[in-house]
Amino acid sequence: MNTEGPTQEEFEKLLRWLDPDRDKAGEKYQKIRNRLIGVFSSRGCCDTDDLADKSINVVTSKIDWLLGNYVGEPALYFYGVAKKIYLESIKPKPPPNVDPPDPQPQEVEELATHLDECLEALPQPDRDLVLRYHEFEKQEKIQNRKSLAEKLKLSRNALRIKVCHIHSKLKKCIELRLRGSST
Amino acid sequence: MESTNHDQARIRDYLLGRLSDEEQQKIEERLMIEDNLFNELEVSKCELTEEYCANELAQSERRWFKQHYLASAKGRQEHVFALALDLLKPPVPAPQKLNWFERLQGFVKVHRWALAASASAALVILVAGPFIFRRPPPTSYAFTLTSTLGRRSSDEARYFKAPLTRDTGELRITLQLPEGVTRGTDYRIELDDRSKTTSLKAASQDANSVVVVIPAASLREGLYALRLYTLKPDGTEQLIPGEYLFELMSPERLTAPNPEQQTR
Repeated sequence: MNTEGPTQEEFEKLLRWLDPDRDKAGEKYQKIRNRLIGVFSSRGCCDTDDLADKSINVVTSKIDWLLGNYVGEPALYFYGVAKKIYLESIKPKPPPNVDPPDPQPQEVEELATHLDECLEALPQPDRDLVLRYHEFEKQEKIQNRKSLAEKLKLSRNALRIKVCHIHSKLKKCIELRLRGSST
Repeated sequence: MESTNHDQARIRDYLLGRLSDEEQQKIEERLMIEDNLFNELEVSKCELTEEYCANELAQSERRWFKQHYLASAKGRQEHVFALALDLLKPPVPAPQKLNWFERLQGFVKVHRWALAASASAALVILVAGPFIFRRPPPTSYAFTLTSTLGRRSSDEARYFKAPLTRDTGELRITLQLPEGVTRGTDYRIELDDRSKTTSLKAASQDANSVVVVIPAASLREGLYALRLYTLKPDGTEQLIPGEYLFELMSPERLTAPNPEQQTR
């Protein structure tokens, strides 16, 4: 299977295959890439970005054939290629059934410092929500979240999605700080 | 638009290794093209990581989750994030501990006259007690559970709450079989208390349910998961997807009664 980088011409053909509008094609490309990363991470792959890019490169290298022959949802073709890439990645030896090492305390503490600063940078309602959402344990935690949802007039599901979005903002903030502290 | 209850349950099954290869492929194909389902995947990854850190997953679930999602680069980041968030929680203050003498001093000081009266009553109880306070026979506590397969995955619907008292002799649990799964002629049940699993036999069964009886002496307060296996004629067994979740607690902690609750 060819996993070398695509040519610019092939890449442009790929985008047109995804959508005639270049901006929309770019969005679809990014969406497919994110989905592949999501699937690879669910399967426990370490180098998810690399595997996703390899999958995309293989599809791109076949674009001429695809344009003339493939009928169906492009994302599913990418998935089919990704499955093969995954199997190849574990071919030398299947992943061992051993536990990966736990995060180190220093790593967690450093992140907690950045997290604290990023929480401060959040709008107050979001900050209060995420701190209150994670209070208590076990049964009390469940009751607390139910009360929070009722107070905010949200369904339980909408509340968990909202908190997850706030988590995403916090993670992006932390990533920027980590990059800043490493330069 | 939010994902359906069934999709939420399927995504959890996917992330906890409960799907067959074919089911895994189907869900991954859907993840590639359905926005809501992919969003649900991302939310569930956060939640399961939190549950992992809080030790709320069954042992087999913990093992799978740690060796798969948490082993990925993204999963590790999520794990560190969840631990960091935990560090920022205010600590629950531990109750102040007095030694036994301090506790006794405090009690006597407050209840001097009551102690004198109760000493007299105690003498009466010692004589008449065995005849008056005979312990009632142990009870069998029965309830019905439905599988997590196809159920809403929101926390409050996951664990059926059941009381555990000194008089509970056994739990008689009816496990309703999910629709569409292959029925068997015999079943094995696995009880998971998050530290060990115990194999149990079905006490009885019919077309729609399996009954398991668990002696209460082997149980304590906490979270439990039951898994059901169909026993095939060739001696192999097949796990029925989904779990049956319940929590045992003292009657004082139990608040609202469950509609499925029965006692004998």
